[in-house]
Amino acid sequence: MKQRMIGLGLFLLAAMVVADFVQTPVYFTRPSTTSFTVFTLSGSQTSVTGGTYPLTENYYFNTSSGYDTLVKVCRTGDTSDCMTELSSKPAFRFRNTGNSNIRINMMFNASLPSGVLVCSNTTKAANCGTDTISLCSLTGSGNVNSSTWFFAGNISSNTPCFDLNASLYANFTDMAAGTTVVGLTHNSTTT
Amino acid sequence: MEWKKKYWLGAGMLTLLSALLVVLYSQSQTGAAASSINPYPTPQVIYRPVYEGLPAETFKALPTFPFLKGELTDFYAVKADFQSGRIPLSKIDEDYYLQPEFYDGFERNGVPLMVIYPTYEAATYGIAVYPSEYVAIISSDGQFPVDFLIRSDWGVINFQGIQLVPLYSKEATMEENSFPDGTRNITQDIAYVREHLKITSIEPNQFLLEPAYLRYDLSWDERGRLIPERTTPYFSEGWAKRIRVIIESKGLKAGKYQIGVDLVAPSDAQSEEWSWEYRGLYQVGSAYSLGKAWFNLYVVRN
Repeated sequence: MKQRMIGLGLFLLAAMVVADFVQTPVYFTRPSTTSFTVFTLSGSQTSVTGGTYPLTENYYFNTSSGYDTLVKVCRTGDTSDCMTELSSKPAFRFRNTGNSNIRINMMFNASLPSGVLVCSNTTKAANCGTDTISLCSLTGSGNVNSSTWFFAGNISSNTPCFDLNASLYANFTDMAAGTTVVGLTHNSTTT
Repeated sequence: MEWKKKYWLGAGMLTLLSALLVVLYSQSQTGAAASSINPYPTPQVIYRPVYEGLPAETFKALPTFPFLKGELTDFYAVKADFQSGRIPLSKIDEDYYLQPEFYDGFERNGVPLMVIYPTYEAATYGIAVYPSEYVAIISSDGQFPVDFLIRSDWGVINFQGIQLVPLYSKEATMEENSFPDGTRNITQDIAYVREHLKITSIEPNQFLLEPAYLRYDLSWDERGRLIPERTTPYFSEGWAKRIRVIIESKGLKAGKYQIGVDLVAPSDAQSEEWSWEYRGLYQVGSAYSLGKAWFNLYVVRN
């Protein structure tokens, strides 16, 4: 008898749960995917083994004199020759893996220290559009700051046009000694 | 399950049909050079395709490729029926949606990246939501569920901490779909929608998306420092999750609306815990925003 009562109780509970939902047709004509991936410079596959480099990278710009022009980013753990080693490598590669076109923007989340300007230029594969920032102009469209979004480019979802590369450079003019840490925010919107 | 039986019978019939097609194809191609291989020559195909350059261990942590009977799988039929809207996501279990082939971009984008992974860079962040857009038609007040999938994107090496929250927008535009009347845009009063069309539950709403590229053998040295040893291309078992959203309509006027689910950082306590556990392999999954909700439900109230 006790077993029967338990069984009935479970049945009632199940019935109540089902009754909670109204019949609502939910549909899609085409199942859309929203997705993108960000590649960052990383230690090589062999150097990552053993934890030589952190896998989630922090980047830094370094100057010894306080005056430098178009200094490229280096990775945490890099040696001084990183700028040569990474001279042709973008700091970020954005890949659109969904099925909508997207546009990529960047902005610092805090002001840069006095005497520092950062710029970016962006590239895409050949014949993938001209809406990139070809010139790393420190005060023009290439300038990356904390007040307005830097437009990096639009990316389609078709290979090979699904990649957008962004390089970062800094200019130092009489920068005071010390270290400043700022975050770089990336934003993508559908186009 | 009934629909599984249906596939079994259907697969048998399709076997005959495809055998006939193969014969005809062979005859018409006599003397022609070998062409590219279709990985899914017949619906009753057997096992996961073999991808040159990807070891079998890549899929070792995932559920066994679903089988209907013996060596026959209904995987591709289930996938096709989901994409055409004949089977809801709620009916599909993780044996299916944890297989990377469940997602259309795997062969096109995932395999090439995994086979030839860049040596100087890595996919440190990447998220995909699928389907990211639904339309629901409401005829009366009440609650109803909608499911979607969220996963690490191809090649991502990190553990990504995620929290899902409701997001209401003043304006929204459908990307792939449309309302029954053919329109795609809406402008709405956020306060009104928030009051009459609520997301009452998102489950799970805080979780970790695991890597979709590497297997890590994690160990710590005597000073407690993490030593990750990457071994081989590998899908972690937690690389994809199914999310259930419960929506409640109460006193909603006839019209068209949109509600969304967005990604934000996990709670500080949870993020701290995961940061400590995975150190440099942990990434806050909301680091890159989309400028709108990642998941969007468009609602028509008749």
